[in-house]
Amino acid sequence: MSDSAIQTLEAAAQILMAPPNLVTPEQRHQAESVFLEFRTTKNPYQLCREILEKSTSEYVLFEAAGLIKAGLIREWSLLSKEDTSSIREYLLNYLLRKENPPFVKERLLQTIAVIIKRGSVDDGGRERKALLAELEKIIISPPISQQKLACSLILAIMQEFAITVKTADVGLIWEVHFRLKKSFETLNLKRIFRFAIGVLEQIIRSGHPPEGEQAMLTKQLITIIETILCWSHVSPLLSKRLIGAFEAIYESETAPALRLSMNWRDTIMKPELIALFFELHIYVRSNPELANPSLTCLVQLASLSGVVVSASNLKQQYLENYVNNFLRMLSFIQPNHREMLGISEIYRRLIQFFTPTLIAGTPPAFLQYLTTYTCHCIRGSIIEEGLNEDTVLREALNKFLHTWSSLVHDVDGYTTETLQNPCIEVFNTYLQCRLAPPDGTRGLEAKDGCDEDIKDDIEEDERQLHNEVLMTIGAMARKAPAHCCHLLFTLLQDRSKSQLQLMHTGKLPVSSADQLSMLFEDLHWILMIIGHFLSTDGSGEARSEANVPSELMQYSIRENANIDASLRYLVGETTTQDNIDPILKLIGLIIRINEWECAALEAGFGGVLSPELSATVSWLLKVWANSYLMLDPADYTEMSTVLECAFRQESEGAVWAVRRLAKRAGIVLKHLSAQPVAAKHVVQLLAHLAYAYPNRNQLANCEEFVALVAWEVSGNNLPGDLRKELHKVFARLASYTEGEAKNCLVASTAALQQKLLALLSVQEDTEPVRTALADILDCYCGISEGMLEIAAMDEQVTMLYNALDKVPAIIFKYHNYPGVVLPALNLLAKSAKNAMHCQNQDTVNKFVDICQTTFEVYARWNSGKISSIPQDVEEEAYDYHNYPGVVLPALNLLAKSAKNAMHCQNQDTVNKFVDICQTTFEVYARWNSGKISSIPQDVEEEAYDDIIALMELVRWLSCGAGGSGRGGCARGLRLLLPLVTPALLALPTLAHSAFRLLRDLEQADELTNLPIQDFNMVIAALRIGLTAVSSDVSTLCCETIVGLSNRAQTMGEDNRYSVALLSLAQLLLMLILKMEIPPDSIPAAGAAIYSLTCVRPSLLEGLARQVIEAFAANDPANVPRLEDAFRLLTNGVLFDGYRPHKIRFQDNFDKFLSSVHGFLIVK
Amino acid sequence: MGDIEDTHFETGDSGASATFPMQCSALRKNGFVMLKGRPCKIVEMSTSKTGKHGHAKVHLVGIDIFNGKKYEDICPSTHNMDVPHVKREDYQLTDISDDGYLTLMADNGDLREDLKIPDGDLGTQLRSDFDSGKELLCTVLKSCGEECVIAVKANTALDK
Repeated sequence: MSDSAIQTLEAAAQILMAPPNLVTPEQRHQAESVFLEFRTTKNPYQLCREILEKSTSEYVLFEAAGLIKAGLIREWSLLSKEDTSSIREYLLNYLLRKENPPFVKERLLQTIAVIIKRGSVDDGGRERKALLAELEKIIISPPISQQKLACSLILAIMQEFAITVKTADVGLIWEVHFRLKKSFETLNLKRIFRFAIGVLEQIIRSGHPPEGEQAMLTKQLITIIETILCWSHVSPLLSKRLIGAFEAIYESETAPALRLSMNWRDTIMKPELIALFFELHIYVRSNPELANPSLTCLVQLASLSGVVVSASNLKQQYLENYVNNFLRMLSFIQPNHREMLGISEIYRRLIQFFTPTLIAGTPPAFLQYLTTYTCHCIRGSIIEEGLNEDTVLREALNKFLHTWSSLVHDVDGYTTETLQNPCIEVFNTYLQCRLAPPDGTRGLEAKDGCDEDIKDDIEEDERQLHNEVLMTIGAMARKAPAHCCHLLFTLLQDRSKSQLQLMHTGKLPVSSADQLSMLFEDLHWILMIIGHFLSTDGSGEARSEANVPSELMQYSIRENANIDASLRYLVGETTTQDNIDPILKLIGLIIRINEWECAALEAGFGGVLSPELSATVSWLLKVWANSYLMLDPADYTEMSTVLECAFRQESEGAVWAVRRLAKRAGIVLKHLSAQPVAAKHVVQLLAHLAYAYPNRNQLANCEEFVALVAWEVSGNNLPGDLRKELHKVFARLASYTEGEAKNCLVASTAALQQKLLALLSVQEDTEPVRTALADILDCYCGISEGMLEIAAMDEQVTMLYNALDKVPAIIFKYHNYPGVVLPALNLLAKSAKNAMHCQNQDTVNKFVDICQTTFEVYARWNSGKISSIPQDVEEEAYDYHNYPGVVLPALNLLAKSAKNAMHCQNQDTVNKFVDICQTTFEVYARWNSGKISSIPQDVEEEAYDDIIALMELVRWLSCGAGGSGRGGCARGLRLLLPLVTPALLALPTLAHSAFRLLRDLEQADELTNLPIQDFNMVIAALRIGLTAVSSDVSTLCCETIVGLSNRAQTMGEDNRYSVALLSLAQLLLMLILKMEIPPDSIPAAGAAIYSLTCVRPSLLEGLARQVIEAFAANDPANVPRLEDAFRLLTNGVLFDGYRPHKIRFQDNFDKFLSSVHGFLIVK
Repeated sequence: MGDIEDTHFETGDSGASATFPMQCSALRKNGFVMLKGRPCKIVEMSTSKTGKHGHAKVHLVGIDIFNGKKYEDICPSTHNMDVPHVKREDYQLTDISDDGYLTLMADNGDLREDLKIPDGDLGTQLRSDFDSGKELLCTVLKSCGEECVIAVKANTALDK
């Protein structure tokens, strides 16, 4: 019998493994069903034994191994202790004598581990202990194949006990998993550790190099140790959810810190143990497979914490011992790249887990090695940048810099004197690597002789890309301000003298493009480093009060320079460098570089200057302005008189600087507007000047800025997005300022308005007119965004409204041109927030009126429109065809206004808004219903953004006080519900939004107020949602059901709504029993079953009877167990909806599932 | 854009230039541009640089407004590109001749009979809607001397 069964299986396996061209789909399908049936075999152990002994098909062996495991889990309670022991012994024996492919072996090992784990529940771990002892015996003596197998089994057992929250299929409830893990930790883990260490020690002492089989065994032993050191020792006091989070960390790449309990003290505090680990690493380091886990062990040991070293002298002892051994190892080896990464992680962890005082007490070599290695990684990582390959050294550098960052900021650690020289060394190295010869080495170390030392295919913004590294380099530089400030000044002066001045005077050497870009690259880096040296905030946007770093402030105070001379130097009235404040000297030079650049641009050298460098100059000026400009002495405990005199609010220096920067903005925009990177940064600089000092703004008053405004108004060639940003800045400034300055800004809007009117009166409909119109609408969009709030109808607001007023007419005239319609709708959408927030009711009403007219116009032109571009051309073409690009902002506008509109005090406004929404829904329905089904599934989800916007709108409608939005809400739902099809579930974001909408509407009590036919559609939607694979959708459905049930309880079980709702119960229960509900939604599903039963108390009983009857036909033997399980489920629970009973039901439900899933389910 | 009031615009209607120049950086997404000699709608615009310290180039992806074909081009951001004059006008459909020509009526009552029924689904839809007696509004796209019906909608406007 079994022989023929084996043959059938082997034949089926052959078909499954055959290449697709040799077998038909029917054959494959048949073969699959053979295995599906095989997997459900009851009491399969004898059959599986025979297969394991006789079959030669690896696939069949694999299936047999799986079946044993599944069978054991399913039938555990039917098997006797002897049965399980004999299976376990057989399997171990089998593995020891027969060589199998790894995937079969793994599965069998896991099966033994499961037997051990389940057995531990009953015997308190006796069998486990015996087995582990047996395995130890096998490990200490050859043959080596058996030693390896025993190690693998130990690892499999550890794996089985390590995780508690996610182990769902062993048929135990979570509490038991957790208890078993704790028992394993206390009884076995330390013993395994000591044993494995002992064996490893012997291997090291034996002196044989780790090669061949021996190396494999060593690797397994190290892996055992590694697993123990990375074990998540979780406190039993934590909640299940937190423990789950912990265990997720355990599975991630960086292991949690090594926290050990008291009983590890004798082992872990032994000095020889740590020494052995370092010895081990030296022994295995030539073999990467062994070196990686052994490094992980060292890293874990560097993070020792917890009660085991709670006393500080213990910590000190441990650290001393660890560091001594660590340094000894470093003196032996020349670390390779991988090791560098490990070493950097060791440093990082030591700094993280031991106090700064303890760290400062380590031998000087500790800091020396850190310095040397950091420099090494700086050089290496810059070579890596050029190669675009590995980033190991870059990762290592980041970790080293992380360590440095802690060291330079810890006040009670190393003294500044100690850190100064190492910091200088690292700083100099970094600078060298970034600069071209002769000062630096950039490009010299590039491999394969390529001279591409300047990387050019950078996607990200340079200044952000290097932000983190430079922040630490800057912080280190401030530990030695005198050296670094002087060095940066000299380098910068040298570069700027050499050629920018040549350019300035028009004597630019024409044939030196390469030399020029070397110069640009040097300047770019020096300026970036200066930015991070001068300020702690490389983004230039943090609004903390005291931004000048204290080291620099103290440095300036110490230097005590001549104030007058310094100021004269700053503004360029003198070039003598005696007795000048060093910080001011540096800043003066930066501003001079700015002026040279501006002069070169005006002299027509824009074509040879670097836009990237221009961006860096703008960035640096912004960073500097953020920290130094408008200094307020009140923000600082100590203040350098020179800095105060130069940049205090309303000082001449501050005004002078603002004028320089405003002038820069004008010139760069004029000459480099076609270079996005340069234009973007200079606008950011301008925006910073406009926004940063609301109450003491100098910008609006300076003539350079006024000229810039006038230039923008008079017409120019700027791209639309830049003009928009500029007008945003103007509008923001206008709301800060008064008087003359404000008039100038308001005049800019007035000029814009003139232009708009002129364009609208042009009779011919031509492309240039349309483009100009789109630009102006964008400018208004900037104005709308820039206005802080619309408090009163001042001039500026009136003009904005005049423009908004034109939107319907613009859409009417240009309805055929999305290039105009889109910016027009965008303008409305951007203004919605401000407009609806306005205190003035008239203003709000006006805005709502405009919206309504717009929608009417829009609907008139777009409803029922069919276009010719074939759907399958391209995704873009599809966009184009249906104009979602236009629909979307329209819907977004509504959705964004909705929140405020629905909360409006004035009932008329609310009603009006609801009317608009209703109309929109009608229009939308006319040309979009059935959209999901008609669009091919592979289209991106973004194509449905309009539907998401609709959903948001419906949600807000439900917030209307006293159900004022109810009609609109129902109308919207009727539009959306037909979209909820099984196809929807394939679009996760959309599905999530849809079901969240239902849940929210339920909470707003909208659903049970729907007409019954609509409510039935809701129920149908829930029916689909419950079958979702993603846990968030099914959880949302369950929550909706709970809410609906609570309402149904008051309506009575025979109410039509209740009946419809209760029809979901059977589906839900079946999904739960078949484990087709995602595990994370199980608690919510339990709650849903409970609340449904509260509606009709006889519900669960009836369902149980149905399940049992269906079950009795297939598997009569298990019927009593199923009956028992159902009885326990309702044991002591009252279905009254009160919390204690709800909780008790949840507990019973957990137990019910773990007992039922065991025998009921064959996955 | 230059100063609107001072500029004389070519309408592109009668023998005048079918395109006008515009600086590449000032082009807009959703706007129009000539790519490989065809009038296109810009669906994608991105910039790159010639080397780290080099100047920006604009990468344009456009879709032929008549046949939906995709074209790409790359151009220094400071250079000029040709922008086609594009017109879309709505006509009321009054008749379809036996040989497939549409009789279209403009806003001012002028009739024209020089355009054929468009190809593909749109044409089929147009004919069946017309046969079933619906009043139809056709959008005619015109640029660079080419003209065709690109969209149809049932005329719901009461007074047009």
